[in-house]
Amino acid sequence: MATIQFRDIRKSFGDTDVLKGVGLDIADGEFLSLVGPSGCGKSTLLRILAGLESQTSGSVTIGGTPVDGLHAADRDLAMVFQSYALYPHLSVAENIAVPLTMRRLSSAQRLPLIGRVLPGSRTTRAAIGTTVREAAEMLDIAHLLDRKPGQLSGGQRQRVALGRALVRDPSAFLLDEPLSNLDAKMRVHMRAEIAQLNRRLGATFVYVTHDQAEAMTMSDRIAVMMEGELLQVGTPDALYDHPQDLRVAQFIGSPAINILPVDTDASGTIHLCDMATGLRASGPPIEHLGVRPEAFVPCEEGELVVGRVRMIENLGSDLFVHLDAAGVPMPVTVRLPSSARGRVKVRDVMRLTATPARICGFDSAGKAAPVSAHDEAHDKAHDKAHDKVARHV
Amino acid sequence: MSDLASLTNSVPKQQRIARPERPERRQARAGMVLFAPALVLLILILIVPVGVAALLSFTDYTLGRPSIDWVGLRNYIDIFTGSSYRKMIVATVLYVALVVPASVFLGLGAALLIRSLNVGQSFYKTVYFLPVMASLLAMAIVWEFALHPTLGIVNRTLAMGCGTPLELWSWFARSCIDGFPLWLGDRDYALYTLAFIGIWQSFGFNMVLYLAGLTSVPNDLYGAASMDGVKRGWERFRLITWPMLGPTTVFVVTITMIRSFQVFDTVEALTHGGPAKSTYVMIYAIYEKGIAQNLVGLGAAITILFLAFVMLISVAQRRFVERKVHYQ
Repeated sequence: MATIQFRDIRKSFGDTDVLKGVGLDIADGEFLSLVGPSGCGKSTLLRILAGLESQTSGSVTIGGTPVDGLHAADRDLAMVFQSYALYPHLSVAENIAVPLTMRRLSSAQRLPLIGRVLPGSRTTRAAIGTTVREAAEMLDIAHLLDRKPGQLSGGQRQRVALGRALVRDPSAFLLDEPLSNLDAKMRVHMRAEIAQLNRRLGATFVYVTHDQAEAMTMSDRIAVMMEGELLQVGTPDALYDHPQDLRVAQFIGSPAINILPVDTDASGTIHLCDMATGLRASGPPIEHLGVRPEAFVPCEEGELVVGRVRMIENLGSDLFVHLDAAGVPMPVTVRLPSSARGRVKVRDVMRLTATPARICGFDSAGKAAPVSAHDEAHDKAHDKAHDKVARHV
Repeated sequence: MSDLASLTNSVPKQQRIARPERPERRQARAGMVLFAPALVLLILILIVPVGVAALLSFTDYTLGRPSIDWVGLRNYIDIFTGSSYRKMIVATVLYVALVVPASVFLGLGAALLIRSLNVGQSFYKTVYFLPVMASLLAMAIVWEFALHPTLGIVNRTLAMGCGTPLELWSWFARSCIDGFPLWLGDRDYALYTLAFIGIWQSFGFNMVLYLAGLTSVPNDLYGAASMDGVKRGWERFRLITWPMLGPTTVFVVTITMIRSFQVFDTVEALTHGGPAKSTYVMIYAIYEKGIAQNLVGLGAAITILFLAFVMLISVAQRRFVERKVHYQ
């Protein structure tokens, strides 16, 4: 199979820099998601890897071999497109067979009519038919082999596109937002199926998406891209708990992380709305605190945030409470267990706190910076946890 | 009490609901009223004249003569037995058979080449589209000068080739001795010359249609083809471009066929159906018989035959081909 390396990839269209020096190593058999808002360059990076576009500078290596300048057909990759890009005039079986006929049959054997009677053509075609059927059975579309793509539902087309990709047993799969044209239920279903496929085939998967939930649920590692730069590469857990950049923190997680604008005085004490928070910046001055909705705990005193309940969203399993908090421009979101149902009402005043270990600090440049409890003796357990975080961060 | 009131109330209410017309019916009637003027115009302008022509084709009517006789199928029998009418059909079919494939494939080729250009796309589009925009009658005069047997630029240019290795081509060598063809004045060349002018005139139009068709081919398909191992342009054309242009091709072929069947202006301006009726195409025959010679009945019969040809093409397009090229 294949490892993939990007070395300082740059891409410009005229004066616009789409990729500004991206370096990334993908391990063999890994499921790596490239995630970011639309226009961040993730699809361009994937198309450069595929060979459909060429980089302005930098190099791409697949399985240790540089592939720059190599034709897409010679890179031993398969790609699933957002639009599926099925050949509308060919049946499902013919669609899946294209990668095989193009490689296994000579151009003379591919000719209509004459090609079928040339020596060797018949046995090769029979072998291709068997392989196509196996791939179709694996994806549960064997009963659709005679249909045209126009007669299939979105989910079925998606499977055909996957079938066309995996029939050739490529060293890596590139998937460009493959689920974005499906309805919500189908998307969740295909999410599990694609992740399973990765485990079963053991091939490297590079998955491009703008949906952080897809990236979180399927990937071994996630690379977050914004404005042509890689902000952070790490496991879903690392990205969620220890975002290295304010933008990563805001992009990953739903509902989004709460961002509290704060000031740090000369002694390192962090103030929210001119009130000391009991937190201290142990590194550079902190300008923003990030707290996940589930990290907040209601409390009676010593709160980090106080606010009035503006809206309650009851999801059954959880309760999302939105507060208007003093000194915070956006409503603060808190996730409470379903047991809190009925105990919180709109216009109630809520006091919230969080353990320092679950609070992310960001400096003026938006980079992660360590935060610790102000009173070290107050809570030893917090402190220990914080040290761990600080080392990690 | 209140129950009783609602009971007594509900009966007349239901009757009142049942009485008015259903909205579908009302809408249908409004629709009829709204499309009636269009229907009347359609009948008056399109159906009635064709019906009249069909009726006239069974008579010996001529304009200005008071009497009119029913002659049955005699006009049609004349068409299928008379030698000049056989020539008419041969000339028309040959013209169509020459112009359609050539202008369709030249149009496609030009469109593909123009699409592959990075600069100068609009220049070539304009150049190739010029003959379409120009009045063919005006251009016919230019062609007449260019093809003049002795003074025309074509034969003068060809004559410059005499004495060069071009004479290895036996036709060329013979022409150097016997003189170059009269083109429009030679019955062996006239129809081909007209067909050449027809191709020159119509392929720009086909090119524009193909350019429009090419923009609707999704780019992802070419990406998918590259990933699937398609490397050469020819394979890419066979796998994607040609099938995806199917609907465009059907349309282009039909339109070009109908337009070639209708060729008239170059014939009228350059050859008048001659020499020896070698360019006696159908529309020209209709004009000559029905209008110039005032044989309205005969002209009508040729018109009906012409309509049948065109109808046949349209029906064939709709029935057999279009179903195969629309994949969705």
